[in-house]
Amino acid sequence: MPRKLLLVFILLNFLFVLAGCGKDPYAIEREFWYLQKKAKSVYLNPDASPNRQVNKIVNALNNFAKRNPNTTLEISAEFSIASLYIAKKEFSMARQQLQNMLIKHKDSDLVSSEVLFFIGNSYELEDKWPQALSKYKDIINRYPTTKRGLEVPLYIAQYYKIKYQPDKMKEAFNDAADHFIGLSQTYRDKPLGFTAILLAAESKYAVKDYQGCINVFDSALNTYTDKDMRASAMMNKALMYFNGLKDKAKTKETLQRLINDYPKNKLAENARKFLKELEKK
Amino acid sequence: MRKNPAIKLLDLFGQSVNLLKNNRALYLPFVIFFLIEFFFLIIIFLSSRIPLSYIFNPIVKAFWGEQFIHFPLNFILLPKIASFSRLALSVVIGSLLSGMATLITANIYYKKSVNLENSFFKTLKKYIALFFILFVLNLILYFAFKLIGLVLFKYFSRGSRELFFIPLRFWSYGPIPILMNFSIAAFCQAAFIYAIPFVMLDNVKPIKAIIKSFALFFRYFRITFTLVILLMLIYLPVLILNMKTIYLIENTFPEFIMIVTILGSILSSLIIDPLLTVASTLLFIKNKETV
Repeated sequence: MPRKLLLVFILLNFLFVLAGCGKDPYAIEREFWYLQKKAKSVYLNPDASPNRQVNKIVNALNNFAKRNPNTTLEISAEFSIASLYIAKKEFSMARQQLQNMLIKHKDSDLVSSEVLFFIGNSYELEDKWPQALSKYKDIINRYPTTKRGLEVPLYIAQYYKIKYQPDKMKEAFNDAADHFIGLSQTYRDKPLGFTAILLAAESKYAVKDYQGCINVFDSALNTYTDKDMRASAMMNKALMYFNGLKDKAKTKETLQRLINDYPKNKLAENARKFLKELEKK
Repeated sequence: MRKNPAIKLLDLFGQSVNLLKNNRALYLPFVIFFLIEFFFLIIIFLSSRIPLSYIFNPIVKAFWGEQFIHFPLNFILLPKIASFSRLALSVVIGSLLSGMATLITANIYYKKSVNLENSFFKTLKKYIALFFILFVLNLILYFAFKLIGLVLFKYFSRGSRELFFIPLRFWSYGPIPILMNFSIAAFCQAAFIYAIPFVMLDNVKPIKAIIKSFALFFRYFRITFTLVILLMLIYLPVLILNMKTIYLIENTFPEFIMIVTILGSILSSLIIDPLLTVASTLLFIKNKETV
């Protein structure tokens, strides 16, 4: 009897283990994790990694991508290959890989914008800013509504800031603000349009154009009907009066308007606290 | 016993090891428990994979979040789920098997014949009492751990940055919480250790058995506590490794967590529990003989 029981037990365990050998999403994730681990060893020490090792990982990643088409991990594997080439400073190979990705995933704006950004990055790492800039501008023109498309205008301005080029930085922030204002008009009364409003204000704030910021929020208040967006615009406007223009009276007035217009909004609670603090001062 | 517990303890260990070595029947309940626990560990290990994922993924998502159904983050959760599983198994099945082992130990000590089937059915009659004792023990342990966490949280959320001159980070993570949890577990385990022998060998009702166990524990505090602490120390490396899951995943391989968990199960089910059960039963019997 105990032997039979033990046999059943072993058989059950074996069946479970067998079930775990199949190619399910988890097995694919696991395979990719181990490939990434190998790739990581190259990123950490690219100079000491022989080309043969890199090629082996590239082949494995390519195989993986081919075996798992139309998955996010396929795209991640393809990006990993480009990263490996970049780590080894083989920029033309990396860009070739990325160009292939651009053709392969041309229907996905999200992937295409990321690929273009990666190409731009590869030029930046090679100290070829004009080529990088042209790729970044490509993203702004072709994929303005993607996450990357919304980030790149400010990324360009930040580049000039880091490189101590104030005139170009100012120009880039102003260009960014114009781009976002244009975007907000195209996507009027939509969440994306409101995000563009906030980014336009951020761009103007970066060059200390506080009045410009307030005008942006005023235009949002004239255009948007959504309660949460309007409350957010009012709160941001109040903060601009307080931090930028140092106008306490206008800050109080805007906060009071927020409380009166949207008393139940969660931002109204913050506005009340803020107002209380201002009264104390 | 009180005068020279170190020598008695060594004798007790020697006797327990000999009993286990010479009587395969005595070891059987622990082997059965280990096999059941191992089976559940395999299920937990494969719970993120098809077909088990259809059942377990929604549960993991609901309680801990989506990320823990993916590789390798599922291994961060593995020791936690394994410990829950062990807790449930120890109450539901472990109680019965511990009772059985206690009965077999007494039979061997009194040189009576050992019949597994008889022992099983005799223990089954007292299953509710045994279940109750282990349920109460685990409940106390659970709330003790929770209470300590809550007290520390309340204390530090008031703005204090240190307690007994020890900074906050040492209280939230590191050797202090491990030692605190370890000491609480050892103390509770030691206080409850004679409850099962009282039920199985003296036919005492469960609540009275717990009270009598407490009394006996305090009477033989040094030897009982040393016995439990020494045996539980074997498990300490597993406890420490279980707190370093992220480090282990990054520096070895994720499946290493499963190896550590199985090692923990081997240590606790096949070494600590048998020695603890046999030694405590022997102590109980010897106390009875003295009285």
